[in-house]
Amino acid sequence: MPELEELLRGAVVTILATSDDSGTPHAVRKAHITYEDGKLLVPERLESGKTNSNLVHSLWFGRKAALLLLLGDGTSFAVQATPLRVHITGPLFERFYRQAPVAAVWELAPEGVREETAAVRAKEEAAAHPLLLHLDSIAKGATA
Amino acid sequence: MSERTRKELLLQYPGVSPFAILKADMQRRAITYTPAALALVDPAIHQVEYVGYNIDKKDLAIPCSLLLRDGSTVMAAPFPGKANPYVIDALDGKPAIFDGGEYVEAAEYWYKPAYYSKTTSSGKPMWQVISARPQRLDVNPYNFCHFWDNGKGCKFCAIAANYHKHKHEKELALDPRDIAETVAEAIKQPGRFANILLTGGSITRGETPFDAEVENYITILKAIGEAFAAPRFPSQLIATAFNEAQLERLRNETGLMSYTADLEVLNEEKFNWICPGKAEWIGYKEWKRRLVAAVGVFGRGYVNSGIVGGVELAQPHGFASEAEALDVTLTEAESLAEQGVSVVNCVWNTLPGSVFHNQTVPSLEYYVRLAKGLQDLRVKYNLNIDMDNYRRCGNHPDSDLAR
Ligand code: SF4
Repeated sequence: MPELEELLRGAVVTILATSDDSGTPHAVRKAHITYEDGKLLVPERLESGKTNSNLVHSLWFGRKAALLLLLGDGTSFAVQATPLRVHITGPLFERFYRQAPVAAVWELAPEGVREETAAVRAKEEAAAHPLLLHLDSIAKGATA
Repeated sequence: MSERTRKELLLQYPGVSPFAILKADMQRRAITYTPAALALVDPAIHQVEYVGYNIDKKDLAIPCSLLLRDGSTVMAAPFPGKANPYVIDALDGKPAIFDGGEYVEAAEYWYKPAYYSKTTSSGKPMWQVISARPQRLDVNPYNFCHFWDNGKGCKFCAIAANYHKHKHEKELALDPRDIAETVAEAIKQPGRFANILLTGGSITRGETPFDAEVENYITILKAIGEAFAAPRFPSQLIATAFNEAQLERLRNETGLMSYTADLEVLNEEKFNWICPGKAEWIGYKEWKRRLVAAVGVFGRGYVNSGIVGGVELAQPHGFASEAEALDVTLTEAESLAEQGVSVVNCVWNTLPGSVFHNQTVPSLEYYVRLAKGLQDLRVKYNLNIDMDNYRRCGNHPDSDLAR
């Protein structure tokens, strides 16, 4: 499995999913996520946006977020991440702000990377659950 | 209401931010720094205060205040006479908050803004002109309150005592040019400031009472406005409750965006006792009426009123029970919210030099319920509190919940 840092560099689309206090999910495309000292750094443009609010409440109440990375070669990877801290001032915040105005920079702790590429996942699930298929898919002459 | 601990309250109010609960408790119980925590302070990087401070002599540097992991500001300081303060110690080379020897949370010291090392063209160090919060410039243009002229200042307030203590080293009024130059310099630092606050003591003088105070703020706001390309800039004025003509002038002649006039205590009888100067010059009902009038001038969500939560329980004339105090306060806050005026709470500190320095502050649960109650009202009446939120002010556990 490639390192998270490498995956982030190769990702053509990155999606961050968070949830609110009622459990309602919210997923958005996010650019410029980096990986430093074992943590994901997520710049957030909108102070009053749903993602920022969900991350604040996730930090308060111990919820996780999820990141989906789609790579140029068609593979995809998912990462669960715990919000650790938000920078709204200070040297790290200003470093990001100088690149592009941001409202906050989130520090998230990644917890394992899992490949989500459809073919890879199908193989894994077929091995773990051989009963879970339709018979026609294994009939003589089946193409799939 | 029995005294529950912070840990018990976390379980009892699972929907309230644990950071806001911690902050309120740190504010009511105060903090103390260990030598190891103070060894982490670097006055070249951090914003500090000096114990035994005066302009010429700098003794021990202590951090101005703290930041928590969720970006909350904790305005808390060492406080003589507090029996059970939170302890700021060093853990793995970083500041951390302890309670009774037990680790509670990580903390961060405030960073010093770049303008703190600059001087104005008149030769004044800029840090003496405007102080900084993590994202706010604090302009205190007038260091005395004339409600004290006849001894009728607010009983929880130490402005008069502080003025007399520091009057040989701190001028009564700031020069608007020094303020304007300092703002212009401060906003050169990318991302460092998001709001400008102006506040000072009440100035009763003028053809109509408080015209002199209004005039002073207009002069300063106009001078500050020269630094901005836009006609309006994120700003808050915390001042006396002005009449409509005075409010219109502030709105029309300056770039001011939001307005606050603190009622301090939400009950007329307690207000008359605790804030006799406000009662004498304006009166409780008229103060409220002017706040509502200000909504017509500045708009919904751009007007609020601060209270010093807990002073309504001061003795001998305060409420006898926390339950009654809370009920009265939230009922009155609702009547204001219905009319577009938000209420924000400052945790009461029994300041040395104030009339109430010997009083006892209420329980932590009182502050948790007050914070939740005030924020619930904002949700009910669809009032946004951007003007006084965790970042633009940082001193109100209730507006921390609005995130
Ligand atoms: S109005 Fe009251 S709280 Fe404000 S400065 Fe004057 S005495 Fe202090």
